[in-house]
Amino acid sequence: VILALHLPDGFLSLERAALGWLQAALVIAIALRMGVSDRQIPRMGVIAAAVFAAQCIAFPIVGGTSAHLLGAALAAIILGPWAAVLVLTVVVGIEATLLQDGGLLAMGWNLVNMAVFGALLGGVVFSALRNAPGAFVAGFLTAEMGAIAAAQEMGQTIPTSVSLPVMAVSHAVVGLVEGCATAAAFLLLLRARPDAVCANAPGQRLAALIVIACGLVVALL
Amino acid sequence: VSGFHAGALELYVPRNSMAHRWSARTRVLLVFAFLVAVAATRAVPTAWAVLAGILLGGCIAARLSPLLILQRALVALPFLVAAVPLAFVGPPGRYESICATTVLSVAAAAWLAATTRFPDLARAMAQLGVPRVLVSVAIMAWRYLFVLAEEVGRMLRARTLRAPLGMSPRQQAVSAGRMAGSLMLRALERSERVYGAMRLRGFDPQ
Repeated sequence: VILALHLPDGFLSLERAALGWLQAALVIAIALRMGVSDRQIPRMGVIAAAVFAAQCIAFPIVGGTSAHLLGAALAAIILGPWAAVLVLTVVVGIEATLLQDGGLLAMGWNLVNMAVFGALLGGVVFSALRNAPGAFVAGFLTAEMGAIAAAQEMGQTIPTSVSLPVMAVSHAVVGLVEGCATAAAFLLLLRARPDAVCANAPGQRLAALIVIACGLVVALL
Repeated sequence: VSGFHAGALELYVPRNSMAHRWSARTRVLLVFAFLVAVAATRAVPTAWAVLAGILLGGCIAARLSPLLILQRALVALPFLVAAVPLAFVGPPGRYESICATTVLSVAAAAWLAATTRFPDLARAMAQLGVPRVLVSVAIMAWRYLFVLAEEVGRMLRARTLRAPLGMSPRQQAVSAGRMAGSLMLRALERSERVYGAMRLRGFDPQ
């Protein structure tokens, strides 16, 4: 059993799907304006592929279930929050169109979960601390927030009284694993190639504001 | 951990069919229209039958077995299982509605993936107004996905051969993290070589 999956279509009403797409489009438009140059395209493309590949590193956790890495926080550590948003957008887009993980109408929300509560949140938390505990917290929070948000988004069909505790508890475990793995990856990068860790990217405050705004929208659903 | 088969990712089914000859943009727009129709008629059981008929027509036009598409639609099963309590506590008909609309939507996406190769899809996305940077990143990601997936396969095999059994969950996470870290390093180094090669062949960043 793989714990992490994106929302499929069929669980959301048309209006709600549109709300997700609206947020996702705004965030992507902002990320595109935050200084992504053509120079970075090969780097972003290969890191996007590496995020996919890293998700193939599955390992067993308790009771016959297994988890795999999500990689959003790690992408943000390497690329900074804005380029990581675009990388995660591509990852979610390819998963939805060609690998059947996540719906196309629901993709707006999946982008919010992965790009905002993954890349932006992970990037903001990591840049605030810039050390191994920061990487751990970034990894933990991206897993946990994405899951809580997904439960909240599906609240129309699956009552949150059921799904919210289940998702929060199960992804606390996933989050611990993600946090440990992100911190280990960060330490390895720091030792082997310190310049691979993104220097302070611009627009941290804007990124934090977007995370809070999307968090409010999700909380009010 | 079982071995990883990059080939398993490719969902395209080559066929010499009418639907395969349509432009990728046409197929993308058709699938989007279908998904909107599914989402708009979530509470109308007769509409599900009509939409299922349209999908069947799509399978015939693409010379694909409807069973194959249905089988691929089953990836949504974990969500449907998670929603099972609704069948007992939810409003009547709600669970049936979720099952029907989810299977229809995922099957439509499966149809798109089975009839459309990635480069055609990327071109269609660019024509439909997806920003150029995203399309370029997606093309590069797709190109290197298989290369890096095989790299991960080799790393996992190496770990299986060398690592003792019975690592604690924490050790598992740390080892996975180190693998992810060195994967990122190899990816970065590869991207630098790729960038150099692109420059040599005339790629000109503004």
